[in-house]
Amino acid sequence: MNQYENLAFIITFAAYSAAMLFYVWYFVSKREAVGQIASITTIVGWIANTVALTIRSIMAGRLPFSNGYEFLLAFAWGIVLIYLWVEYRHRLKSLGAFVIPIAWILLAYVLVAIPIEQKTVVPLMAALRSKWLSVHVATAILSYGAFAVSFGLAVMYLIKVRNENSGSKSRIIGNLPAARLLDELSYKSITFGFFFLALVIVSGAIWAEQAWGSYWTWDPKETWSLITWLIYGAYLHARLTYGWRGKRAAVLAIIGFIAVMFTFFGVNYFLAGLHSYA
Amino acid sequence: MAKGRGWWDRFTSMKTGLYLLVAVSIASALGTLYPQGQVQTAWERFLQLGDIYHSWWYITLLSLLAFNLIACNISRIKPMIKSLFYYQQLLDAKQVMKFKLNHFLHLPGDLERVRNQVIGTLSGQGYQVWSETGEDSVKIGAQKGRFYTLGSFITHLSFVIILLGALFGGLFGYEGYINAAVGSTFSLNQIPGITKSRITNDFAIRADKFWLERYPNGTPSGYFSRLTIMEKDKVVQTATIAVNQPLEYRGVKFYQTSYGQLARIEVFTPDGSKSQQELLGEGDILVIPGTDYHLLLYRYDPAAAMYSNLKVKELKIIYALYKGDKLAGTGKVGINQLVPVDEQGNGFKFAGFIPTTGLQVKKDPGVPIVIFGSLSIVLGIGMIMLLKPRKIWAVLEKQDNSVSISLGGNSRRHSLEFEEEFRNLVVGIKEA
Repeated sequence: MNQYENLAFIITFAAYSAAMLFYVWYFVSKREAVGQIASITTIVGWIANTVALTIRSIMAGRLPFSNGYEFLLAFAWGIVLIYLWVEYRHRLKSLGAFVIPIAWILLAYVLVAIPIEQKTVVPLMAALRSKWLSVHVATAILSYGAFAVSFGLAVMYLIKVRNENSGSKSRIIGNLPAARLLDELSYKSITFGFFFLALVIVSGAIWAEQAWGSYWTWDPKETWSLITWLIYGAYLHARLTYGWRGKRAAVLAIIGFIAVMFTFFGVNYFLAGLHSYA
Repeated sequence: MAKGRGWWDRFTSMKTGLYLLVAVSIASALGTLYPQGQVQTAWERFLQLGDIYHSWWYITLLSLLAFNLIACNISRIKPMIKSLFYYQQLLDAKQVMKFKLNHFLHLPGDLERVRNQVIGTLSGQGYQVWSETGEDSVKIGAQKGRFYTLGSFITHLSFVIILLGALFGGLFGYEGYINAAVGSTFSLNQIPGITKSRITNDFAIRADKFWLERYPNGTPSGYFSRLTIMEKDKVVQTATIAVNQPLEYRGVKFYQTSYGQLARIEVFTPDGSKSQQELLGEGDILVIPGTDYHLLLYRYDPAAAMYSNLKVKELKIIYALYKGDKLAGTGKVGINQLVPVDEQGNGFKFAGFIPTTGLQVKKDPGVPIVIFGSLSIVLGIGMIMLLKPRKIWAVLEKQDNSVSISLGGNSRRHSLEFEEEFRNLVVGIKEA
């Protein structure tokens, strides 16, 4: 791996680690200054993340979408990007304590488990050379980012509601924004993610049809991304038609994100298949 | 209230649809976790657990889901058309104030001025407004995002279209795979795997050329074939295909999937003339005519043979000769060296490698339907995501020297956002 890219990666990881700690400190203390530092650290990390991805793109002559290392770096980027947007729009700094750890875990995984071969830039395999690769992976990054944020919101919601119900006036939990806002934001995030996940599946199918003559082969990755999509579809139906809000919606949102994680990690490492590029 | 929902109502309800969705999800997950392929017990065979996605119960589940979707959609056409085109409902003041989101205020001025104020504010915020003016009162209705229902309809319909496209392809499509030696010609019904009865138009394909391209470090960057299509021995079309770029002819697609090679073996009779020429792959057997012997081509040496970086004259094959059932000899031989088989003078020569191109041949008439359905589902979901249906009602009543406004709002989703919008609306009306 190029030394500048390496440096950028290290800065990214360090910044996200620091941001995570600052957000937790903010969550506990509600001190504005701490929250500001957390946000700034996150932005620094995201810029470093962007730099790392850019260097890699330049060196490889293509977008960084071809193996596990590149995806994880890009997913962390997408999660933090969508998180920053939500934090900016809704002034929800405490959400950082729940979402940044997800980005952090992805990068920690890169550090401990990704073999060095994946970190060196290699030319793209013949089977991956298509303009559909960019569409397919870019939409995946956006959808996973949105789902990660919705997961953080759902967890925050459950903590908040449990605190409200038990009647205890924990000062920390009381600092959480209105449960209703969390619930609705989670819903909005999921709608966004649902749209982009549909694009992921459709672009993957059209690409597969062009490349292999089969738009759907029940490959485990394809199947699990469809299952994830159906779970979030059930969430939207339950909410819109049955008024499933609050706790039940939050639980379903969490189940959906577990499906997202299984689709990304579980399938690669437990189930074999055609999709074994990342 | 209806006496009790009949089975039809229950079956086509969204609740059933949701249960079916969950069942399909679980069944699909099962297919990835249960080892597909070999099944042993009678139960497994009955449930077709070796090929879950084509099993009778999975297809039944999908069909029920499709049926449920179609029925749900049909029952929503009428209300959707009503909400799209016949929506201009008006309410009275009492009804308006019953909404959870409501506001009551007075504004100075006459009825007409206040009416214009309210309508102007609503239009300014992008609402579509209609009204009915009476002697002492004005009823106003406004809405935004009403095409949301169309988006929902399109989404569900698209799902059905996709399923129908898949079914159509499954019933009328075919698929096969051939390792074609360069220089050979074959017709559709000679391709292994294709259900011959489904071939509606047969034609011939000649594999003219195959080649590999490499990155500087040696790994393959792409591989290509030139194919010629022939109808009744006349050349119709010639094209080059690559890994992500198939050739399509009359609905049949040829995909460059893989590649390989075969060894050309020439058999010689004692008088020195060539009696036979065959293409053999690793593990293939050739009977030497007029003798008890047969030749087994065991391995190429090296394994990658013509795709390795060795020169042609360095390539070899490893073979075994059998007389009847007994092993008569083994050896390794390079190109164009006569290997004697028996005392009479029969022999064979390894004459070099011929590339084979691995082609997947498919016809799926359902593909255009599925792609259409996929694109329209994306459109439908996009509409659902972007459009937010909201309605505002206002009733203006003339008072002594002011006008009272009863304002009410309704939105099924994004209530916090709508609450803020409603507040802004009230402010906008006051300031107009």
